[in-house]
Amino acid sequence: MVYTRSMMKQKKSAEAKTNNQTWLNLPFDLTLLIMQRMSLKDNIRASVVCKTWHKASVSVRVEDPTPWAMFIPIYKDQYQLYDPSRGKTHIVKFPKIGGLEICYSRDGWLLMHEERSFKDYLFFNPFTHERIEVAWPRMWFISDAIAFSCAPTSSSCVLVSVSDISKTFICIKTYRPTTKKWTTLTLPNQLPLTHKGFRHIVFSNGVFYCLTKIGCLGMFDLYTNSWNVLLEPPPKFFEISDDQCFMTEYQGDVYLVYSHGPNRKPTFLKLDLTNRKWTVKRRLPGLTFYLGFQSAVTTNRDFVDTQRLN
Amino acid sequence: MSKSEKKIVLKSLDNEAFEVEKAVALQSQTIWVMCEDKCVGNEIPLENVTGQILAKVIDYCKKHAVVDGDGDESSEELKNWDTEFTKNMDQSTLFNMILAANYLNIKSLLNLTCQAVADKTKTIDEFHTFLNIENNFTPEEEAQICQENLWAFDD
Repeated sequence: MVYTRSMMKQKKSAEAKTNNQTWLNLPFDLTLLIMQRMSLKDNIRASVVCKTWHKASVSVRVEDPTPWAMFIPIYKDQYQLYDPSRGKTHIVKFPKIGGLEICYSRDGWLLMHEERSFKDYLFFNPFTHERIEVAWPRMWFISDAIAFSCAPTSSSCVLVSVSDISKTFICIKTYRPTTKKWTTLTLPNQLPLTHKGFRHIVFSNGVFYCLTKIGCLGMFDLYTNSWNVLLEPPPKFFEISDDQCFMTEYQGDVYLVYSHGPNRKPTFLKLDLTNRKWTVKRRLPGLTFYLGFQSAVTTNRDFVDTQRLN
Repeated sequence: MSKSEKKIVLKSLDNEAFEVEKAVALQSQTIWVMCEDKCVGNEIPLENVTGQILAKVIDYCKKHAVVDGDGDESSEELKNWDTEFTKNMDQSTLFNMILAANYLNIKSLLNLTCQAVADKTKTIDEFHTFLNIENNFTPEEEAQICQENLWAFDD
């Protein structure tokens, strides 16, 4: 039970009860209980009712970290936001999204580019419809892997693009949306010539991890500006097809997940940098993985109605 | 508690008395604590709840006391009953039911009534009408909030 000061006064108010009871008189903690039961969309709508309800809706919103999935149907001027904890899809009509492809996502922001050109990147926030253009120099070559560290509105946000220019050198460009400045680094490549391109890129704790199609892992450290390579591929990497393998991170640890279809338990591998190898983990207690090709999120919370992974 | 004390009387703030099975009344944690403490006799005064609301709370407790012993088969039926129970409640009744469920500390009823309010309101206008709350934002402030989450206001 929520103990409220108004309980003492309630006797009076119950006597004076009319059919025009205003819900502003509801104790704030009970307003929160109602708010917690709303979908995010209703919660946002409720936030414009009045200042008290705004306060209530915002304060319960941060407690819902379940990641949402986004889907853009081809040739349609809309996108869909899927809330897995409620099994609910919200359709958002937005004509300007046609022809754009998602390359990476993080903190509610998407990095997108024109479907055909690999230039003209922009950040897009599907919740606020904000767009932040990336000043992409025209003459530059195609980026092989691209990702960003946090929301582009944050001053610490860094966009990293990796291009494999030759056998001996790798070119890493970093871009800060707040200053709109590019920096180019050319570092010894160390990757085998036949690595066939990058398959996954994940940012974790100051490091961009780029996994190639043959399982070599390139690591670019943002603070030391260094490029390191782990050549040994993860166990059983070649038995898994491209669309069954996902890379994700949680609090500085990097994981690979092999999906073996809906009826079989996935395989989890954790990057062990001390021993420079990937270790198979049978159990990862408490972690929930949300896996997609352009992005993957790991949390330590269950979402409603799903099985725990351990 | 001896077996002879199977029934209990609940008295509303407007002095309406309801005689109910103890098993029904004890779904309220508040009443349960009162009985445990033996600080009351066989009659429990509930000073925060009107007779009209208390009658509905007792309906709910009766239904749930009966069904809880029946196992899984009845859960679907119980769910439907719950939906019907709150479906036609007006906003004033729901408001007082939430207060009563909170005061009597009946978690499942508090859940049910809060969920009913969450489900009833959909558009901004409905929010204002149903909740009977006046908008105290300036037009600029309101526009700012809408701007932050445009996707939620597109239909």
